Amino acid sequence: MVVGVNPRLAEYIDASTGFDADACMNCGVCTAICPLGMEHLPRELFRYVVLGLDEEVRAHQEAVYSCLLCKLCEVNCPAGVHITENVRALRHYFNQEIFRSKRASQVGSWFGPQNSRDSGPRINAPAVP
Amino acid sequence: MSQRRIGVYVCHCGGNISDYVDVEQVAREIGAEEDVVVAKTAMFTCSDATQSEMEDDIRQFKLDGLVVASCSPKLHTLTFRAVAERAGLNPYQYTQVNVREQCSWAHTDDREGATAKAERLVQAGVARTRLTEPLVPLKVETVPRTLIIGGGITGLRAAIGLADIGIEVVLVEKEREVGGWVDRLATMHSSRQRPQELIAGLREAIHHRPGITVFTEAQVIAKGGTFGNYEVTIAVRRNEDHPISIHVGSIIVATGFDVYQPELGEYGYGIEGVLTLPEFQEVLRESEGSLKYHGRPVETIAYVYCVGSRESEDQGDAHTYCSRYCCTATVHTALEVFKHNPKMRQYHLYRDMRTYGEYELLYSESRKKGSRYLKFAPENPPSIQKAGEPKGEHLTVTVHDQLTSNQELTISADLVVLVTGMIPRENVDLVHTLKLPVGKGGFYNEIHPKLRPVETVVDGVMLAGTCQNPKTAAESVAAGLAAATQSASILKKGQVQLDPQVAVIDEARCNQCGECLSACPYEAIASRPLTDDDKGPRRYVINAATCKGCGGCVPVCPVEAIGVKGYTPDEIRAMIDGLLREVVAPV
Repeated sequence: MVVGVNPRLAEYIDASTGFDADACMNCGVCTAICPLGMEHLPRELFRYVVLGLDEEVRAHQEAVYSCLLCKLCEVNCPAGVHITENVRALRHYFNQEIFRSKRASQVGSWFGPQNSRDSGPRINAPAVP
Repeated sequence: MSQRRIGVYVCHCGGNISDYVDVEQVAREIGAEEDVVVAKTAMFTCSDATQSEMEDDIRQFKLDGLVVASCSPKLHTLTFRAVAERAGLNPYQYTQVNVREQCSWAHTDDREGATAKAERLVQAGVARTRLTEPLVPLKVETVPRTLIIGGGITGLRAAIGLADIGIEVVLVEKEREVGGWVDRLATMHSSRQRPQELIAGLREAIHHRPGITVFTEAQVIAKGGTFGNYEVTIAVRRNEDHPISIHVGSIIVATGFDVYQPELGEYGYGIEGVLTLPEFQEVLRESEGSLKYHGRPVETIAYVYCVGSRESEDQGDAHTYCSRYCCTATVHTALEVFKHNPKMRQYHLYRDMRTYGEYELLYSESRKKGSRYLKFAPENPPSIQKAGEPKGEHLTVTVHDQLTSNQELTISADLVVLVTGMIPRENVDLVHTLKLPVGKGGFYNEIHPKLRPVETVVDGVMLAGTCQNPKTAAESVAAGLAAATQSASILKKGQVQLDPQVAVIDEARCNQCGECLSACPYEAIASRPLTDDDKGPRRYVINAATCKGCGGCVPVCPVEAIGVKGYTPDEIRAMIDGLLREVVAPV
């Protein structure tokens, strides 16, 4: 299946959460070193973000939430990418984009009128339980 | 037996030789020869102590021939020639015998065999030495002037370098003005200055040096004379009927490269918005403020790397080599684009990034600034199509990205830049005139890319810059200055010494058949009329300054009228007899 590259996704996530995987050179040290052996973390997942493959990003929710945030990959990253910060940023993105909008539509607005996508997540928005 | 007084030294090489060859026996055996006055072994013949012992022996025993059985002649011929010379023996009466590479190292499983072989090789060396004659190096006066062909950044820098050392320079440029490719670039990563300012500075510097003469719209059409004093003929377009003749001591070829020009349809070349890197550089150079192409704002650029480089060998005239400079040039260009528009979306479709050395920093910086890198496989290259124009972006690039599980991706782009490599410049006439050695890819060949990086097999003719292989401007300038230094080191002495081991013709035997004429790769043999009558009897003469002593002419002569000094037919035959003597003796 052909997928169109969409630069706006990375720009959107980046602007709202400080996600930054630009320096990544795809060496794969993070994947090799991960104690959980998670195949899609973090190199490939970040790749989906920077190229804007939103479907792929959303398909790997499981991986994003199973990360231990142990930082083993981050201290070994030769390009100095803040990997765990990026994982947290993705969790934030999911919280805002998927769970919050779901909950908002199901049980009404606990957090004010933020059920529309356009407002987007804010940098210091409180984490959703 | 001869009346010679020969000294033989057999080397242990600290065990390298003596572990497998019985050097004492070799010395004993050859010492039994009547004319071998001294036969010794030494732990290291090349050591200072043994060298001075040999010098003492030469004087004390009045030796007139010297043989050292040690390592390859490539390593120590000059060392022991110098020993001979210091002790008053003609250095060309020295013979080196290789009993390390050819005996001990080659036959570690057979000590007796290695020893027997060493004995015969030493016998052969002694047999040749018996027939050696004193030879004197040829001296050639040199002209303190260098011809530089090509007025690009390499030629310009070399000219300034030479003028500052005190060598006159004649610079020949084919175009209307000097400056070359650099003058047409928008950016250069190796210089803080704009390329045009850089070239203007060099033009100014040349203008202020009276030792530099520049001929523009000019070409070298003929070369005569010999090393140290070549006579070159230069044709200038404005005055073609009167070519200029100039004597020069050396020649630096800095004729540069051409840019690969994609064929129509190759990666979409021909569609509006698909440009080569040099074409994009022109666009960038002309742009003030935000980047525009044909009046449209540019927001997304896709670069396709390795266009016309690293091609498969299956294609007829494939460019199989890596052009080396283009990755860095493109990454740097992308960084310049970010200066126009920091939000520019730039996608780099590459095969392998080769931003070697410090240029790796540029690659990192470009990623941090937001350039995206996608890796494609050569068998699955990207394709470029014209897209519908509803959104204003009018090109669609499709690529299988190896870094995203080989996912097929499409990119909407305003511009596609084909990163084209360097190809050799066609210059058939010059190659013929100067006898330039052309290598596999079509570039000119130096003798050795690392050990003798600017010299050619033609003495006094040097190469510099991108006529040798693809180089960055900084590397080209380094090569230009290397050629300038090499040139000056020859010409500053005022004379050069040439190896006297060159071919000679025995005119009494020569039957003027002319076979040798076509066998000589250096055109060192000439046929001259004996009398004033051009059609009358002729004689063949060898130009000792041009002859390289390769020996190519010797075996083709049907009457053995030609030989190389130091390796005459008699000497070669004596060596063969020496090698076979034990076999021959009982008969």
